[in-house]
This record gives sequence, structure tokens and C-alpha cells, in this order.
Amino acid sequence: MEQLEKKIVLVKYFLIAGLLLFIAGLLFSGKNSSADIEQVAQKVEQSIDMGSLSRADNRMVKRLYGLNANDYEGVALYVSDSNMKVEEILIVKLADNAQTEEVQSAVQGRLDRQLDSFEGYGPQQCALLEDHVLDTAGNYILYAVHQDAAAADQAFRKSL
Amino acid sequence: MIFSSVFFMFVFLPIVLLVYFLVPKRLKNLVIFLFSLVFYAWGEPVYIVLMLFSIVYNYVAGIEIAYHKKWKDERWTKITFWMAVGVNLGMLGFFKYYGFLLENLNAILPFKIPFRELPLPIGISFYTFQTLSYIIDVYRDKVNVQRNLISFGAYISMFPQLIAGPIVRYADVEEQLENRRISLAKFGDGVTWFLCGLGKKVLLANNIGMAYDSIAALPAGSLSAATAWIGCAAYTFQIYFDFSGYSDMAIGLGKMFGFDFMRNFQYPYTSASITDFWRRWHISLGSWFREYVYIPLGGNRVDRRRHIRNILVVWMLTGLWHGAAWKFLVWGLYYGLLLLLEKYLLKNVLEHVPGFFKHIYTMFFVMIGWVIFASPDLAAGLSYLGAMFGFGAGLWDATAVYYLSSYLILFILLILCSGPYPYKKFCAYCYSARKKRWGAALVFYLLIFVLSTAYLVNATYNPFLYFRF
Repeated sequence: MEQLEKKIVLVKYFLIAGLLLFIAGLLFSGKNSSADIEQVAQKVEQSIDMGSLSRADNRMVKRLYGLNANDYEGVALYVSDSNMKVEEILIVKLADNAQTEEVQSAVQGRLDRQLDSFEGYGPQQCALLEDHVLDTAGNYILYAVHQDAAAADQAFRKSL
Repeated sequence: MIFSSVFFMFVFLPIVLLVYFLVPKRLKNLVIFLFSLVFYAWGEPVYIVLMLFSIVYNYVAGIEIAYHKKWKDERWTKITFWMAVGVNLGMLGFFKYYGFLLENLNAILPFKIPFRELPLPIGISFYTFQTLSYIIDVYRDKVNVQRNLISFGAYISMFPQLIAGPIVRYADVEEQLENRRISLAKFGDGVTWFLCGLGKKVLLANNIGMAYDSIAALPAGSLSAATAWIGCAAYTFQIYFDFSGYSDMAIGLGKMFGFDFMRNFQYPYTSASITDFWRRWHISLGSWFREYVYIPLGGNRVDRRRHIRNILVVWMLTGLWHGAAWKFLVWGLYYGLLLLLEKYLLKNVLEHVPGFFKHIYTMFFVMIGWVIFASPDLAAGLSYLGAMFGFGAGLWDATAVYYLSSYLILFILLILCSGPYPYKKFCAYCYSARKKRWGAALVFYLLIFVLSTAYLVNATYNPFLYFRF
């Protein structure tokens, strides 16, 4: 037993080496980004025609998505000036990756409500909604309803 | 996965219970261990590696400390012990504070250090404190070394208390890991604890949480003092019913599996002082810090200067335990200073003040504390506090009337449920020695279960505040 106990302690050093490798893997796998949300938002703004889109406040985030902006590291929402347009950009920097699901389901809820509203009389708006981009990159989430949603997503990815 | 979710209540828990009660006694810890790993991996598939590391590393470190102790090798006992403490704190420190440290360094350095933020592993603050309690107590000869890896793994990963406590000290469950009493009565007791916790979380905390969220989304400058106080009161109730509800569910689940965990809350909002409040709020965290930091530093059996230092160190650490942010540090020190004030200046005064005023005094400072705690940062907290004292949009407005009229009944219910009276009355009615009214008790608990389930099925709003610690 004593010999076994002597040997078993060697395991400890292998474990510590394993932990360090794991941490290095996490740090270099690039899962999360420390980029500032305002800079990310700026890059996305520059990548597409913002046209009638303007920045909305936290109350609008609550109203449209049911999300409390203070729970997140940062939220940037752009909505159309007209109720008849569906263009919308939402960028969320999560405080914790465990929040991913709640944000995604809030976005899905918003999308479903918009589709319900425009179904039947707004085929162009519905097409834009159908072609939306919902992209999760580590601690960042982008939701874009825009004719250049793909370009916005590309800029979003690059800025992280 | 959280307890207050349909999947946990109707799929995960029934399967675990079924398997747990079907297998023989010697396999029960293995069942808890394996299902706990599944529970954890559900939300943290990557960080399960950390959990497994923590289990195996501390298991081996415990054996090594015992080995050196047996041969009276003090030097190696100390080296092994401090190394284990260092590895545990290093792991917690890295995953919880490294982003915060680099952010602050970048703010003062003339150049920027690029870094990638890592998500916080769920429950790391809780299970690291549990492993530390084991290592420290093995070192101090307060518990025997655990030589069964499955039992040790079950202790660290035990899903009922894994995510939000209570922080179960190894000494408290050492015996229970090998011999615990599993009975139908205890199982039933566990179910009632779980249902009470579920009701607190889902029916009370979630509903008042919606009021707080919508008030918090308003700019502080547009808040009247009355609205700001209503928002503050809403958060005060939300955090209590959310966290204590989750703790009650954890205690209840523990009982279903035959474990007895310590009570984590004892009606904290009935406290007559801040000192009293912290004897009743998050009791397992307070007793951990007292046992492993405050007393080793000398506690109160030292001169006044060192006692003040000890209190401030403990409360700075308590603040930082809650998160890597300046607001938590300030929140911790705020309580440290209040406790010192009570100890050295207000003690005699408070003894002569009527109970009602002591209660008002306590709740006033507790609510101010929650503003610092809940705000996204210190600046936002100060703006909100400003609004509470009339520096926002006046003293009273239509928004305050709206929130007060919409939530008045809920507030009254919350005030009542914050004290022991309703539960005492319920027990006196249902379980009195003269006449047992089992039917009434059954209807009450079934009602909580049905209402909570209905709420969970329909609602998309089901946050959990202590998840992020």
C-alpha cells in the first residue's frame, strides 16, 4: 500500500501538466473574444448600408427581445425607423457563455413574432426575415435582418 | 441544466432516482457521481475536464498529505498541503479573475496586452471551496483521508449542490458518504423542501424579477425616487427568493438521496442588525470564510488593529468570491465596514433601540448593498443610488404608481413569506399534535407543483441569479 501511495503522487504532476495544456488549448483555440462591443458594432455598421437603421436604447432591447441589457457585458441594437421595415441588427456580448441559449431563444421569439406580423401582406419583409443571420461566436452573438446580412456577419467575425 | 426546468424535473431527476433506488447500496455513490458528471456536462461539456481534474488531483493530494503525516515528515506535509491550496486557488483565480486582472492592467499600462476572455466554469467557486475544505481538514487532522475515488468524486460533483451550493464541507458529509439513512419519510421531507424551493424560485422570484428588470432597463436619470426604491425592493426580494429557493431545492434533493446538508438561509430579512443578517444569509459561505480564513487569521482574539484587518480581509474576499469586478470588492468592503461599525460603535446603541427600528436600519443598508451588487458597474450603481435619494426625476411619478399598483399584492406576499410566520401557521394547521391534516398539506404542495410547472411550460423568463458565481 505504501509503495502504491508513493507512486500515486506522481499522478499529481501529470495532472498539473495536463491542466496547463488544457488551459493553453482554451487560450489559443480562440473561443471567446475580449473585443470591445462598441468597436465590433462600429465594424458591422461600416460594412453595410445602415439606411433607416438607428441605434436603440436598453428599453427597446427589453421591449423587442425581453432581454435585460444589464445582464450582459454589452448590447448593441439597431432598429428601423419605420414599423413597416424589418431590418434589424442585434449584437450581444455575453457576460457568461451560459447565457447563449437564452439570447438565442429571445432572438427566435422576436423572429417568429415578426414573421407572424408580416405574413400575408409583406412578402419582401418575410423574405428578409427568412434570410436572417444568427451567428454565435464564443461570447458574441449577432442577429442580422438585412439585405447584406452576410456582409454584416463577415465584418462581425473579423472584428472579434 | 437548472433544477427549475421542465427537463430536469420530468426527465433527468426521475431517471436518476429510479437508477439510484434500484442499485445496491455499494453502487449508490457511483450512480450519484456518474449522473452528476452528466448534469454538469449538460451545460459545460468542455469544463467537465476541470471538474475531473479537481476530483483526481485533490484525491491524490489528500492521500499524499496523509502519507507524509504518517511518516511524520512535516516538511513534505507542508509542501504538499500548500501546493494543493495553491493549485486550487490558482485554478479558481485563473478562470475567475484573469480577464479582470488583464482588463485593469490594460487600463493603466501604456500598451495593451491582448487576451482572450474565458467563460466562467459554472459552479467553480462552489466546488473549489469544497475541495479546499477537504484538503485543509485532512491537513488539520479533522477528517480522515478519503481513499475511495468514487466516494470523493460523488462529494465534489454531487449535482444537488454543485451549481449554487450550499457549500458542503467535507467534514459534514464524511460519515454520510459511507453510511446515510435513506427512508421514505426522509424522501418525502426532501420532496417538500424541493417544492417549497421551486415555488420560491418560480412563483415568487421570477415574477418580482420581471418588475426589477423593467425598472432597471430605464435610464437612472429618468427614475423618480419612488420608482427607484420599488425597483430596489423588487431586486431585494428577487435575489432572496431566487437563491434561497435554489438552496432549498438543493437541500431537498440531498434528502431524497439520503444526505443532510446545512441550511443556507434563516429568514435573513427578519434580521435586527447587519451582523445578524450575515448569520442568516448564505450561511454556508459565511461559515466557510469563518472556519478557513477568519479564525486562522486570529479571529477576534487579537488586538483591535488586527481584528479590523481580519474583518476587512474576510469581507474583501467575500466580495471578490461573488465575481471579478470592482463593484463586488466595494460591496464586500461595504459590509466589512458596517460590521466593524456595529461591533465598535453601534453595539450599545442598537441594544436600546426598539426592534422595529433595528429592522428598518438593517433593511435600509441591505437594500443599498443590493444596488451596488446588482448594478452593471459602480458608476451605474451610484447613478441608481442617486435616483433613490431624489437626484433622478423627482420624488414621485406615474411610473411609481403603475409599478406599485401592479405589484402591490405580490409585494405583500413577499413580505409575509420573508418571515417564518406563514410556514409556522401552515405547520401548526397541517401537522398539529392533536390533528394531522395530511390532505391539506398534500393539496398545498401539489398546488405549488402544478402552478410552478404551468409557469415553467409557458414562460420564457426563468433566470437564475446565482448561476454566474
